[in-house]
Amino acid sequence: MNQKNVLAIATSATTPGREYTLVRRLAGGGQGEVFLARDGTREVALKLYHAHMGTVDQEAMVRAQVSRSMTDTPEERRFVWPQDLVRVDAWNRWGYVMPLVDRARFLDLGELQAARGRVTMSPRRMAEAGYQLSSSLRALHSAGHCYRDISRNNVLFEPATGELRIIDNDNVGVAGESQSGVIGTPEYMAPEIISGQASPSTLTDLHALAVLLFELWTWHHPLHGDLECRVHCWDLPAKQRIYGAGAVFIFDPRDASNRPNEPDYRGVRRAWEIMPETLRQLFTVAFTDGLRDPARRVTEGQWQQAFLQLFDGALRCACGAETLWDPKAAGGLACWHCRAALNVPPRLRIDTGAAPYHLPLTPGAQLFGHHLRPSAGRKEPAELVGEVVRHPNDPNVWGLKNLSENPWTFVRPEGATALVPPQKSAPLALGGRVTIQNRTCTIES
Amino acid sequence: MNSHPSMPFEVARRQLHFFWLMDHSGSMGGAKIQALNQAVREAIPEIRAAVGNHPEVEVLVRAIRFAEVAQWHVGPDPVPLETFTWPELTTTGTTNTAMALELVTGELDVAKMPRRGFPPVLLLVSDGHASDAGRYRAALQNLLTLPWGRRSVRIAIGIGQGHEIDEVELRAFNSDVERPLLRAHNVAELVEQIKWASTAATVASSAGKSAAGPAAQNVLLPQAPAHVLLIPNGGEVF
Repeated sequence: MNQKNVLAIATSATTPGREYTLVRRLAGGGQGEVFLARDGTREVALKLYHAHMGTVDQEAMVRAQVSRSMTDTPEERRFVWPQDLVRVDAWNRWGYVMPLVDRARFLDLGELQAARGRVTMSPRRMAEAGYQLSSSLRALHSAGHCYRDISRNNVLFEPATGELRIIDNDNVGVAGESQSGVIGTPEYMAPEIISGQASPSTLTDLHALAVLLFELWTWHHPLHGDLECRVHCWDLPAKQRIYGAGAVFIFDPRDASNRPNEPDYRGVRRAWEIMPETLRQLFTVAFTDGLRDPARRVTEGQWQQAFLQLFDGALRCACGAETLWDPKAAGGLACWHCRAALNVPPRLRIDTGAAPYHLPLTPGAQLFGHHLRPSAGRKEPAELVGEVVRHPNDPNVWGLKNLSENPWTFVRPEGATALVPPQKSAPLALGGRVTIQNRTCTIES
Repeated sequence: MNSHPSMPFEVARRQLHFFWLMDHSGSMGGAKIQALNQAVREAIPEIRAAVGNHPEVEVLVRAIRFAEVAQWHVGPDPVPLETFTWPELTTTGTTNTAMALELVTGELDVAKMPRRGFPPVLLLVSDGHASDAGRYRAALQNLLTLPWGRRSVRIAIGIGQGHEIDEVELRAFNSDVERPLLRAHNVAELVEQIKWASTAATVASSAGKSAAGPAAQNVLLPQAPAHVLLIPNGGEVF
């Protein structure tokens, strides 16, 4: 081993004899420093707390995370969890080992903004990121944890895919447990936390989720308008007023006191204009009723379904821009970039029992199990149920091919019924209905 | 390669005004002034990196040097952090800390500060007593009467051993009155403390965290880590 490349040796506190070599410092923060380290031939990240930050409570928290059993799901894999507890005796500091995230691939929102012009995240990828963030948080909450410090500093995006990584997970706690001295990022703190009336919980996580999603879709904070603009020196007391007792959504339909009228804020005004109506409605609920009544906040499941629908609704304009079709959009759809009218393809309206799901029927479009049961979210491996294919003899005729193991029933617009066995296709005639796995699916324009 | 047009989003910015207040009196000669020049040069890229993923923060930098009198070392026009470079500082004369405070107080007037900004950062580095202690106290009081002044993040670093520094006087400058004074006893400590203080103050002012409940202070500045406070064998001792 090349001794020159070793800053220090860290020993495992859980596995006797296991060691990690610290190679170089990657980053530093208020809590500690993160190093690149080697675990044999594998590269890992190793966080060491500053002496006074590494309390007994913190160690217990990290130890619990290291030893928790994890399911191997896409949701779990997005979290960068502590994998081993370590000590560096030479420095009298302790910390933990975690997977290394490629920071050239995964950027936080600020890095994405700073790279404007060089790096773009298309609307479809933004929808993917929204889906991944909501479903990951939902999985975490279902397991009885709350994140407590969701912020733009802890969520990383891969712009080309919308893939997510969630880092700095050493603050994740058990929902319901009160933590004194919790430090958080004020921009994301629910009003009841700012006023000191509540401890972090899954409900306060929902507020932070809504704020981060709004920032992803507008590059602007939902509470920064005329009221915030009037503040000269933007310090903590000012933030506590604007994010706490005095919080008003900038697009609150019943309160115009905090509109983003500032000339510098034209970005958010434009972003709100082009945002899909479904999201505008959800953000409005989140930041009006949901601001002060935690029980009325938009749930992870609602966000998850909305983003799934928007992901499937991406339409490419000839100018290159992607616009998201939205079932709630009134009238025709125009490209957000060049304003040309967009041709909206026919859709399969799936009556799921709750709100219907609309799958645009473009060539090659795929019907998955999660379209028939959207509340459960995507499954791994994905259950491919059907696919839009061309008629082998007539290129003008399209059909939905049955890729499942069970037959479907097809009802023609005129009323005649037919069976669609596996590997056969139901013709895509407007007004026709297909029954797939007990769901009625209607072809609409 | 299918490329998409950029989304029409914009990041709204606020200004953060950063002031270096540097003692270059005669007693700072030799290793101290060399270390100070070195420290600032090393700190600048670290501050850039710390706010690199915060495009909403526009850092504008100025510097005041004080010895017999206080003068603009970089200023009075602020320089964007992106293009800021540190001119070499040399030593002369006595320690007119009061005048340095008076000069920066003039710039923190509401009429001169931006309409929308972050708490300004004032970093004071000195190796001795203010030559006019009464005038210093008055200047500090006056600074704290200004809205921008009392909301500023202020950190003092004292260079040297025991009795040469007026610890009480320098500690009075700190915005966080609870914390002990940063003391640089050798070259390495001065470099690390200037790097840490300038970066931590800039981040705390613009992208800082807070605790739940009413804020005890207007900016939450983290504690200086142990490896910045004490560096045994840290080069020439002051």
